[in-house]
Amino acid sequence: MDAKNERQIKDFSESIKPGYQPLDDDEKGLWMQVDEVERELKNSNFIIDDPALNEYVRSVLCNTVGEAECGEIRLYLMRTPHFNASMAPNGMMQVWSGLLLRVQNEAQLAAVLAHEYGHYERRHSLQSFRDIKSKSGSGFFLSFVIPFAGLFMIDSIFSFNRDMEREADDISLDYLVKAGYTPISASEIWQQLRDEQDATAAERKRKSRKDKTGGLFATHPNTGERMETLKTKALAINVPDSATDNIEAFRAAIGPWWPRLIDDQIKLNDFGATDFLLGQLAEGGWTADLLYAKGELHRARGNPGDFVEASDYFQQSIDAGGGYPEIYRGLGLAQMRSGLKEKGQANLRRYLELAPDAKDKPMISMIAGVVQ
Amino acid sequence: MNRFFGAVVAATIALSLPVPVEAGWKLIAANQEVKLKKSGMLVTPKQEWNRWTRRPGKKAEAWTLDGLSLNEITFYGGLQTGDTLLKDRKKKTKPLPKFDSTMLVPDVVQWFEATNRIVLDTALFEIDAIEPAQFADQPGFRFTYHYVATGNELVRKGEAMGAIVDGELYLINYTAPEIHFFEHNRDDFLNLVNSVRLTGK
Amino acid sequence: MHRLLALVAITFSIFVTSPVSAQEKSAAKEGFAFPSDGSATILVFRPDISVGEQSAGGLNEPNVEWTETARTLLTEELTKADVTSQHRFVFLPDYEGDDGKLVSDYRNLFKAVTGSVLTHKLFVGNRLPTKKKVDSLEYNMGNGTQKLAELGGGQYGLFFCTYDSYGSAGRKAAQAVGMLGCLIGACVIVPSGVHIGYAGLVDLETGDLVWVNADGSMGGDVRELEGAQKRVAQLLEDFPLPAEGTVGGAVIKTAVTEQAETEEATQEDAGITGEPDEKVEAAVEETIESEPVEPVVEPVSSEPASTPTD
Repeated sequence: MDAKNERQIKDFSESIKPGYQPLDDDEKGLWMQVDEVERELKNSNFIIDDPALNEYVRSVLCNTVGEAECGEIRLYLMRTPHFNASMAPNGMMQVWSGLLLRVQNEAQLAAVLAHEYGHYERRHSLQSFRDIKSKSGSGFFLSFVIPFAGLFMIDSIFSFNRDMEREADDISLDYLVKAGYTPISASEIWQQLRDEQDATAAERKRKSRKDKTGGLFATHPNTGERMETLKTKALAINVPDSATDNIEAFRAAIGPWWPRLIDDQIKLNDFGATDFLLGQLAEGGWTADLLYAKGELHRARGNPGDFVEASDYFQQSIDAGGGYPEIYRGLGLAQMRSGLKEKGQANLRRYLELAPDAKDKPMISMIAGVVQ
Repeated sequence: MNRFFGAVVAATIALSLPVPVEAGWKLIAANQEVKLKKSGMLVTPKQEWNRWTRRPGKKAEAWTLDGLSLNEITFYGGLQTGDTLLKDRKKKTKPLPKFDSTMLVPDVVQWFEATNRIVLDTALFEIDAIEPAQFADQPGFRFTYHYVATGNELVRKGEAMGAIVDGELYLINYTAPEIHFFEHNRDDFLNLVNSVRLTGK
Repeated sequence: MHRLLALVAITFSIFVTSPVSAQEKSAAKEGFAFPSDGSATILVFRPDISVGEQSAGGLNEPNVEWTETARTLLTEELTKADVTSQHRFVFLPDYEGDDGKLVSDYRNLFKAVTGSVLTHKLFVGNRLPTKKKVDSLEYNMGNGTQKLAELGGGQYGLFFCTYDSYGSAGRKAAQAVGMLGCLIGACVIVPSGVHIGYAGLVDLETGDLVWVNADGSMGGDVRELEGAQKRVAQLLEDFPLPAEGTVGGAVIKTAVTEQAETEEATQEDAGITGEPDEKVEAAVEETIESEPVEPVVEPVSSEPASTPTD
């Protein structure tokens, strides 16, 4: 941290309170500009407008940072299958669907939301803006990402610097503890992300990207460092026995969306990462949903042996009580690919019985040998 | 960091080159049978089309009437096991899934969907219907879909028809904005599909 | 990497495919004329305006103040321009909810259509062969545009966009060196700032794009009054005249919010196999493929800072 940054953080470290309005020209300009982005965001096709899911995520935010505080935040859930969330200076917060698939429990979600709120509370965008402004005069080369076509990808031209990230991490720990969550959850997020990157790399036989610090992420501390720091600090906190990660509430709320989230993930053609995510979710046992997803994952990869393996997972899913039509579809198709034509056709017919209005009914009927 | 910016600088310069990155267009005449390059597929268009001289995939070519963003027809001719639908430009970080000649029709459609989700960087891509259909006098299939590409909120619709013949995939795909264009040019697409012949290589 | 390249591509895509060659600035639908009873009301949709600075690396840094100033000046000038005294102009407010979605859908479609016109029609080197023979503009957005007519109470819709990126000191130094590109094996002179603008008029009854004007080298410093006047004059140059004998119109200012526009409007968006943007991107990727360039935009970090701008 250079001296200038230190001063700036000190100057603006006072958290803003609910009801805050921008004061000077810099800040007004920033807000105005983000308001414009938000105006367009509201019409975006990528917004997940499911009231129940929105209500849940908002309730976690409010529970974590406080009722009056969360009232300042407009929360947008975006259908984007990667791990990210963002905070704009005017109170526009975005959470990507890929993040909802990756965080394991409510405490981890709360850690992310509190971290983002921390950026808002400490007006990090403004600090960053001023910092860049002062440097650009001397020819400092800026790093930035323009929102591609403005609308939905709200990356920033002004990157929060690493110290602000660290500050937001600290803030999130405080909020976690105050709200009665397990503070170690914040560190776990980074552990999971790094392991996932390893898994992607291993499957693709490439070097893991987990310690990459280049490019966009130069604006953030290395994930390993964040993980370690958050862990050390969490372990130093005297956590009451009542602290919870509230995993049940989290799974119940995400449940209705989980099939879509995992489907988006499977279609990314990243077998290693998806397999890792499923394994992680299965730590408490393999449910019918997880087994079905595992079957779909293998079926989509389609390497030698994958169809036999997929069939096995689909069958296990059925045995575990999975009753929805798509399991039979997956099983039937996988069996046919592995040479079990008659069994496959029987399962496809079962699928059609269970899903008489299926979009692919005419095609599946033909494959299943159903006389039209 | 430096490598990253190096890339951006390189990109910027390459992009601002005043030299032609020749993405040219060739006229396809009406009412004459055309053999599609690198494939055993022939079509007889009823009207003039514009063929893009760059290829979206190794065994693909794209035609348009008003510009690719308004109406695009892409022909995929004779894809074999191991081929990707589109060019696998980011194979290190975002590799595209590969075709396999043993795929069933629903597998082909899912592979098409996954490829486009990756290339368009979107999760808003949905298959609307899959059904059997004759293609070049062969038992084939038809599917429809709609999508929104990331960074671009325009909703587009698509329809594709094709068949796997002797282990090779032949496919003609049509996409256009949902508002006005899709319906407006759909017959032009169907006319092409109805004229298709396969000759082998 | 995709997005980063794309954003750079956005800026240049419409020029790359065209050699320095001739560009025609405007086009109109053949035989177009405003109705002779002088009844035409033109709805003006919120202009897309972005002003920034080009750094030594060639990237555009959007500038809030400049954008704001330009928006104020350009809007003022637009209301004062000669053509606006000849026609009846209505500046539309921002809509919310379903109406907002409707306007947004058509704005997106308009961008795709204009993108095509820019890429294929106005730049001679990139013309579609089927359109070479025809001198007139023949693009239609469908008569669903009638919903816009009802919404705003007018017969025509005017869309308006400017995108400017001014050279900075660092940029000029780089130009002096001139051979930046040699680092990667392509030696070129880096061009100075980018100044793009276009305006388009849609007949909301039929959905026809009846007039479009675009220029890849717009003049006038939009951050200053005189420049803004020049720019508006340039954008509205050749704007169709009112039918002869009709009386001058009026400018009705419903609501013009003077906020910075954040959206790039110069791109032609991506079709399924990739549009010019992406194609350019592809070319670029090929160029830099030999460098161990790692894509970095894959979002695997908790939060990219958000001071979204552009």
